[in-house]
Amino acid sequence: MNGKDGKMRRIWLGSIFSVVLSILFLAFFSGKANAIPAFARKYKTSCVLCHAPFPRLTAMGEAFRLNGYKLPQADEIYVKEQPVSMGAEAYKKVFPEAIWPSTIPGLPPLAVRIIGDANYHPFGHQTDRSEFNFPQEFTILSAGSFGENFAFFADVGFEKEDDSYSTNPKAWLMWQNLFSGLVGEHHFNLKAGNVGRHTIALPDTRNENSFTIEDYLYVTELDFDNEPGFQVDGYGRHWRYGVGVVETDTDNSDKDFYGTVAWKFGGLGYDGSGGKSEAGGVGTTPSGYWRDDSVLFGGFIYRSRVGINADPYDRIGGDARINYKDVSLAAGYIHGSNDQTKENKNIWFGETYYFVFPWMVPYLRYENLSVTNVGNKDQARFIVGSAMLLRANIRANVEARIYTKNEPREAAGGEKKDDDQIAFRLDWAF
Amino acid sequence: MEASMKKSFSLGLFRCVLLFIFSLPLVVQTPSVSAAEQGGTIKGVVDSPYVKRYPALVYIDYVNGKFPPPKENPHMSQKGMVFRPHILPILKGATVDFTNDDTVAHNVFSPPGSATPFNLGIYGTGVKKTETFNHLGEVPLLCSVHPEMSAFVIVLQNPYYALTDNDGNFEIKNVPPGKYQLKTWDEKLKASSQPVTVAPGKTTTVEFKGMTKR
Repeated sequence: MNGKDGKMRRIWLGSIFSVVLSILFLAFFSGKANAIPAFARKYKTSCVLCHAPFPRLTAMGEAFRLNGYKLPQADEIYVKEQPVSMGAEAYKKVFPEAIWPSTIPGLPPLAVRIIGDANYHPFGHQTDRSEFNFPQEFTILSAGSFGENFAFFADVGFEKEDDSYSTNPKAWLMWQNLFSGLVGEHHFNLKAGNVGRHTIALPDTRNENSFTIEDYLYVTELDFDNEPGFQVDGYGRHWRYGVGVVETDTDNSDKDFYGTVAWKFGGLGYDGSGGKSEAGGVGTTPSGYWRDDSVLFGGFIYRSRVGINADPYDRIGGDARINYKDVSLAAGYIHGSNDQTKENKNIWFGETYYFVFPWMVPYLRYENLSVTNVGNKDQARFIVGSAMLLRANIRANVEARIYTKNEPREAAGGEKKDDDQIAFRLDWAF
Repeated sequence: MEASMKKSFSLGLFRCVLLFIFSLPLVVQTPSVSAAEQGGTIKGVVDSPYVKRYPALVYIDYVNGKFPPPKENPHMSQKGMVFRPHILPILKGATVDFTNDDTVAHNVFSPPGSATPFNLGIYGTGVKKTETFNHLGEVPLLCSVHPEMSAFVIVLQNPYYALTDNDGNFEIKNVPPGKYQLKTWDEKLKASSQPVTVAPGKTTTVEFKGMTKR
C-alpha cells in the first residue's frame, strides 16, 4: 500500500512538475540526433538498450556507437537477424590471394525518423504567434557494420525552412582497429566522410545526444556542424579521443583541425566493460536502465584556418557531467575567438534532468553568452521542459525557452521576449 | 511304510488346499492393484490461433498427495538477451537457478502482483542467483536492463502438466485416476478450466474451445 501510494505521489509530482514548469514560464514569457531503429530489429531489442530517452545515448549506446554499431565484446551472440556472408571466415588465411571476408546486413538497415513541432510565442512583437511544422524534419537513416572492422553511417534528412525543405545528406565509413597489434584494440580507428558529428563540440554535452527541442546555444552561435574530412579516434575503458581534419570551404585548400578527449570514472566503460551491479532483495525494485553512476570530463579544441566569411576562428571548451541514480548534472564552457572581427565569445551553461519515471524526464538548462569587442550580442536564457516517452520509439516534448537577455533582438528594434517560445514536439522513429 | 506315505500325502494335499485358499484373494486382487498404479492419459487440444506463437500450459489444478520439488533446481538462463526457456513450469517449493550466460549485465525481477514478487538485482557474466517459489501461480520475469526480455515461471501443485505444441496439442501421461479440474495458462489468453475424469490405463480427450484474449 505504501509503495502504491509512493508511486501515485511520484506520478502526481512528476506530472505537476512537468506541466507547471511550462505553464509558470508562460505567465512570464528546435535538436538533431540519431536514433536508428534498424538496430532494434537486428538485435530484437528495445530502443532503451541504447537510448534514454531517444536520441540521448545510454552508456551502453555510447559503447555500441564507439564500437562501430556493434555490441561490445560478443556482438555475434546477440544478433537475431543474421548478416549475409561476403566470404567465409577461413578466407582470412588465403589473403592476399583472396578478398578479406566480411558481411553485409541481412536486410538493409534503414530507419525513418519524423519530427513535428508546434510552437507558440506568448509575448513580444510577434505577429505570427503560433505555427505548426509537421513534419519539421524527415530523415532516412542507415548505419551498421561490414564484418568485424568496418562500420558505416548515412542519413538523408529533409528539414523545413520557411515553406520549403532543405536536405543535407551525410555519410561516413569507419575502418576500426587499425594497428591493433601495436596500439591495442579500439585505440586507432579511421573515419572518412562527414566527420565530427560526434566529435566536434563538447563530449559530454553533445547536441546530438540531447533530447531537448532547442539546440545548445554553443552549437548555434559557434558554427559547429558536420564537415567532410578524416578523423582518427580511439577509446579504452576510461578514455576516448578524436583528432580530425575537415574542409569548410571547397574553394580553399586550407583545412580545419580539431581534437577532443574525454575521461569517464565509474559506470559502464566506453569499451562496454564494467558497469553496474546491485544486490536486489525482497521489497526492492531494480534500478532503471538509464542509471550509470559516473563522472565524466571532456574537452575539445578546434582551429579553423578558413572560417566563415574568411574569418578564421578558434574554439576551445570543456565540460563535466555527473550521473547519479536518476539525476544527471552537467556544465560546460566554451571560448571562441575570431581572427578578423576580433570577436570573443564566452558561453557557459548548466543543465540537469531527472528521471521521474522511465518515460518522464523533466529538464532545465541555463545558457549565457557574452561577447566582447562586438556589441549587442549577449544572450541569456532558460530552457525548461519535459521529455515524455509515449512508447519506446515515440517521444513528446513540452518545452519553454525564456530569454533573460537578448541583445541581438533588442538591437534590431524588438524585445527580448520576442524569442520566448513554448514548443511541443512529437518525435518518432521506426 | 504305506501308512506313513498316506499320512505324508494327506498332509501335502492339505497344505496345497490351504495355499490355494489363502492365495485366492491375492490372485483376484492383483489385476486391480496394477490397474490403479497404471495412470491414465489426458490428451487434447487448445483451440486458439495464439498458441502457435504463445504456447499454452495445460495442468491439473490439484491432485491428492504431496509432490516435493526435484532435488536438481530448475534452470532459467539469460543468453543472447533472451530468457531461456520462455515458460518454466515448476513445483511449489522449488528453487530456480537464474544464470547470466551473456557478456552483458542482467537483472531478473517480477512485477507487483505476481505470485512471488522478487528482485535479484543486477549482476554480470557467469553469476548464478537463486529464488525459491513457495506460492502457486504466475510469476512473470523481467529484466530491468533489457525491457524486451520476458519469461514466466508457473508454480504448480503437482507435476501433471504439458505445454502445447505448434498446433495446440498436448498430452499429460501417467495421471492418477480420478476426477480433476484441468486448467490452461497462456500469456496471451484468459485462463480456462474444465472437469476431467481420468480412468486407469485409458486416454481421456479434452478440447479447450472459445479461448479469449486476456
